[in-house]
Amino acid sequence: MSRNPQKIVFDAVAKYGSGREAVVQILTEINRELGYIPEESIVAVADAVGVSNAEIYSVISFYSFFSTEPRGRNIIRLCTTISCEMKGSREILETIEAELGIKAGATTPDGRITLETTSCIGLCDQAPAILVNDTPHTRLTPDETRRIIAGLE
Amino acid sequence: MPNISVKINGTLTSVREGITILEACGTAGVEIPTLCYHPDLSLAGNCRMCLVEVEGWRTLAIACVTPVIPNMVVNTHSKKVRHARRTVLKLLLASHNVNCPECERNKNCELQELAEKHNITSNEYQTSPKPESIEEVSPGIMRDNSRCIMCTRCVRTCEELQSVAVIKPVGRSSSVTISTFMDRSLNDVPCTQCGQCVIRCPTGALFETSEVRPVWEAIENPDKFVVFQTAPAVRVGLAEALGLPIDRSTGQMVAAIRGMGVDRVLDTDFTADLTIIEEGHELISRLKSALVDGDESVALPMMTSCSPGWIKFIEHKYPELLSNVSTCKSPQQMFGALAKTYLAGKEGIDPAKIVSVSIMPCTAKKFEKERPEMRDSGYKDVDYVLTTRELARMIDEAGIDFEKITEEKFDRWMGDSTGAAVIFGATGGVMEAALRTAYEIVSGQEIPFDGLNIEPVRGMEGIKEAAITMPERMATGFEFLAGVTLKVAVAHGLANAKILMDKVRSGEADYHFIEIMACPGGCLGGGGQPIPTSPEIRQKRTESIYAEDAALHFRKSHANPEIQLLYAEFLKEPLGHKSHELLHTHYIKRD
Repeated sequence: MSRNPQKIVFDAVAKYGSGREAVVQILTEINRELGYIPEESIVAVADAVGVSNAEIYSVISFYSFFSTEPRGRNIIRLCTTISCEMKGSREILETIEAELGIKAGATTPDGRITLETTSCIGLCDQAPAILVNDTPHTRLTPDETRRIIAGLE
Repeated sequence: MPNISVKINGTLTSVREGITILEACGTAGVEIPTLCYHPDLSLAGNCRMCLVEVEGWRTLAIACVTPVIPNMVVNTHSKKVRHARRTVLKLLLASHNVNCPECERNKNCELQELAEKHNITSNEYQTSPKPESIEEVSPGIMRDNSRCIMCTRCVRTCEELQSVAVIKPVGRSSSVTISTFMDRSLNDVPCTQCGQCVIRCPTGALFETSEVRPVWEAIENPDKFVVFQTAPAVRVGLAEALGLPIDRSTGQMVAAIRGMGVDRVLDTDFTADLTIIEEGHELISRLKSALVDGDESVALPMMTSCSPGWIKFIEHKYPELLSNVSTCKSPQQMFGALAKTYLAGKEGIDPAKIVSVSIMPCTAKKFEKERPEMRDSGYKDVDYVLTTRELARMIDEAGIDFEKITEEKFDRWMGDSTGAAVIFGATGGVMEAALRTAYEIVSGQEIPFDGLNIEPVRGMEGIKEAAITMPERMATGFEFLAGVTLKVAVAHGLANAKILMDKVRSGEADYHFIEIMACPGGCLGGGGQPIPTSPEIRQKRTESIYAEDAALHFRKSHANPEIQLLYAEFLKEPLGHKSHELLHTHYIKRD
């Protein structure tokens, strides 16, 4: 059971303070707990920190791991930067899209999995790589990818 | 700071330590091209237009953000610099919608001017042109992000000068756009429509919502009776908007508008004087209720209500202080309400045929005229609002030679004005005009300032304060004010308004009367005024305003003969029944 969005902001401010430097930490807590950052949370963070709603929205838009839309219970993030691309990330993307029946950026209708592409996640030496929630999976093949997806709740 | 020696383009120069290379070049008379730099704003250093070469440095330096150091050797136009600048310009142009003839800022665009100066005739980086994308139509402001070069002047303006901060960079890298909270319309965020972003945009990404076409149609329609009103600050901005030196041009302005085929050319100054009478009496009435009757429900300090950007700001940010705002409509809206009632009667014209057009230094006035409360005449009180820039475009389109035109006078009934009305265009002007009249009403004597010039409320300081002690002998009925010291404050720019409002809200401020103008410098620095703007330009316009005041026969609003006639024949008395019906309004809380 998640805390309500206001409560998360309140607790995060107690923990990290209400300075501008605390914004990313606060947003990370919200994003982790709810899977996304709802509009009411943005307003609450802006009020707590004393900046405009637009400023918080601007910060969120900078980080691809933050979302303002609800997402699935699991998030697969596929790196599409050059090293992964040279090692076959495109084939992995096609495999995941076919397996889930959705395009990158979308969530399966049952809310199980959201598929996203991301910039470099620092695993170039083990490309192609994905992050499933917080866990990296590297040197992927289509078969290995299908096995990982099947194991997700 | 001590002076240091630097060499700029081979010439030794002594400059203050700590200033930037750009500033040092300025004092040495060397011009460096800039785009993201603006004298009113913090430094961003993001456009790279001002790159210069510093001997011994591996890379080029960004002149606007790099401080000078002793014995620095700077080359501003070396081969390397010129090559880099041309590349920077081409890259900026490659992601810009280069459709200049259709752009509002054609021939008044910093990017276009730099491209011309740097002989950019072809662009190897140009891919397919960006499609035009009008992303925003709000009453006062339109946005076309295909013309945006991401300099962030608008973002810095909104935050630093106006403390509004509704526009921000959204996204990352090449997909960044200047956007709002949840990418909403400016209508649906706390934008004040002040247009300060518009007058600092180097390109045409931000511009006013134009009403030139419907105004021409009204002028060309023989069944319509077109009435123009012109705001105080327009007469010190119009010449500049037409490419002439900054100067007042009241007579030429009237002649040019009449030459366009407008039926009556009248003056917002007339209703500025009217505002002073109504607002002055409202202030005295509030003071009486508070000081004599001990009525604690009377809100003090009273705050001015002329600036629609300020009104929208307080409605969003300090709704608990709305009862402090004068109920007087702005001069524009008083004029509109009277044009279709009093003037219609005087001219014997069916008010349904009147098209009421106002020329304003302002984009927020376009929002104000759309407020549902502004229909007290039984019609839309003001039909169209044009900025100073839009009027200049119409004068150009009509082929009128503004420089050579013979000066003419305003038409009668609502065309008389006083120096007190003209100074509404400068920060502190409403306060000064109000004090000139209110002091005389309550004491029966002229306010004791040399030449009626109330210097403490003039000038460009962000927040100004003054205290004026009333004489011991007062006019009959105003004895309660004998010896009372009236405390006033003036702020311009909404960031300064915010500082004052925080003080009022916390109970820290003990003012009786506050003047707020949304725009830095007051209306003469408004979002509808000529582009560019800078402290020097606003200073020159201010001098023009006070020169016009000094040159006028009547300097006090209550001396305006047509105002006296208006009360005698139509309104009867200040704050009377008719005034309440036509000239006063209310405000709403906004999210």
